[in-house]
Amino acid sequence: MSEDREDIDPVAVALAVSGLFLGAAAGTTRRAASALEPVGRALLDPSWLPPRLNPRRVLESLARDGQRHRNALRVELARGLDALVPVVLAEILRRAAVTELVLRYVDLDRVVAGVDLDAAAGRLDVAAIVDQVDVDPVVSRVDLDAVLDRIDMESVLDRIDMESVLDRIDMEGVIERIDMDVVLDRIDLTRIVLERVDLDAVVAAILDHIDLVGLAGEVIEGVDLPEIIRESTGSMASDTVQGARMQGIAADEAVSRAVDRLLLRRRHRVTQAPSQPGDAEGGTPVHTRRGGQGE
Amino acid sequence: MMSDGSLSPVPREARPYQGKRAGVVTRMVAAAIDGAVVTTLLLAGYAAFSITLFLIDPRQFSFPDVGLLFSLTSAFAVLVVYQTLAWWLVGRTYGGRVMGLRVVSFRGRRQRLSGALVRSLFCTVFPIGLLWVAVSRENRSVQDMVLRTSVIYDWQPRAPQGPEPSGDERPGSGGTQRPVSGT
Repeated sequence: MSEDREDIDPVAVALAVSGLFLGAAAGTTRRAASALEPVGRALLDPSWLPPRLNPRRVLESLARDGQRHRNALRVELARGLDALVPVVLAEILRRAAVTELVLRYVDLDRVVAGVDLDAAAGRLDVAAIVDQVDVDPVVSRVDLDAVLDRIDMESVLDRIDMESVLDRIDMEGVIERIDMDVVLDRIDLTRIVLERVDLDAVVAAILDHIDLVGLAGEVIEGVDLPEIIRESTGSMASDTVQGARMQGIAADEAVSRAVDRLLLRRRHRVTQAPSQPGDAEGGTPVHTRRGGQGE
Repeated sequence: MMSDGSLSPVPREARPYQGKRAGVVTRMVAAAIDGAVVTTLLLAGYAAFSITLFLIDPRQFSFPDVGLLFSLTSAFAVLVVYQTLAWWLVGRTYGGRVMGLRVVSFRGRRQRLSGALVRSLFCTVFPIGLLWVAVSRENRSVQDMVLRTSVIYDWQPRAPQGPEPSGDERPGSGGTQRPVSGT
């Protein structure tokens, strides 16, 4: 055998032979059928047979029976396939690694390239889909901590242009929407102040700005402290007694002036008595101011 | 007006007079009140004596007749004792307390028992000496001049420090201001 001579495939030869036979048989059959058609028509509708025994009618009856059997068989076959196919298919799929097969034999890139994703997306009613999704259980199943742990916040922040973000925020509007009362209610201001504020420094700064002595003087002038002391130190300081005493002093002075005038005295009396030593030792002070009566 | 910066229960209008010698009217009013007090004490004593007599023998009871001499003696004794104790212990009698007066020594302090006793005797024996206050240029009675005491306006409700220290008096050792001698 030479090098360029093809090997003879017996199967192909058999197929070709059977094809020749089948073609010949089909041609023969067609020609025979066209030749025998008048004979068949005469045989199917013989006028000499009674209608009850007419072969056409017999054949039609047989055809109806056959059709009935075929329908029954189809139903039975479908029932059997319904029971059998899932089992067989499951076994096949279990044995065949479909994913592997797809990955190996299907050119996914070409498939995807052939899909008009834009048109598909355009046909999606995203709002309706979102409406149908119950987000709460989904969110509840998400381990946000784990997600956050996996996020490199530094790189995220590096990629954010905070200036432009802040420029886009309407701070006035944000502030207007904040209910400061609610915010303050939720903040323990007292604890924050006590922990974070240097109270000593604050008090010292306040005291630096306050004239405590002057303030105390104003308070004492305002509240008439002597009156309070008088009220708390006994009945002998009542208004009646004070009035009698003041009238006594006035009468004393009147008598003194009258006597001095009678005696032609020109100089005032010297009525200042010796002060009590130890005034500064806790004793009650006696006022020793030199009044108009002194020389 | 706070004259010396200290708090005082004394009304402002009376503060200039505190520590000055009192005039004759105020002192006479105080003396009258003291007289009323002594009279009340005498009457109370007489009533107590009468009730005692009544309880002892109700059927023979009659108000006791105390003679004039006994009455005067009793009044004298009660007045002396009352003034002595008052001036010694608190520096003023009840009349002085009502009128805001206080008796002080030449040092400006409360009198000792002996000084108070002498002054009380003097005042009781010679009450007319009080009138000299009107004439005196220092508002001093005869007793004040003799005993170098002063009766001052002092509306402070509490008594100041203790009485004169015992021992020899050392003029000039106490007080920032001397008593002014007569001119």
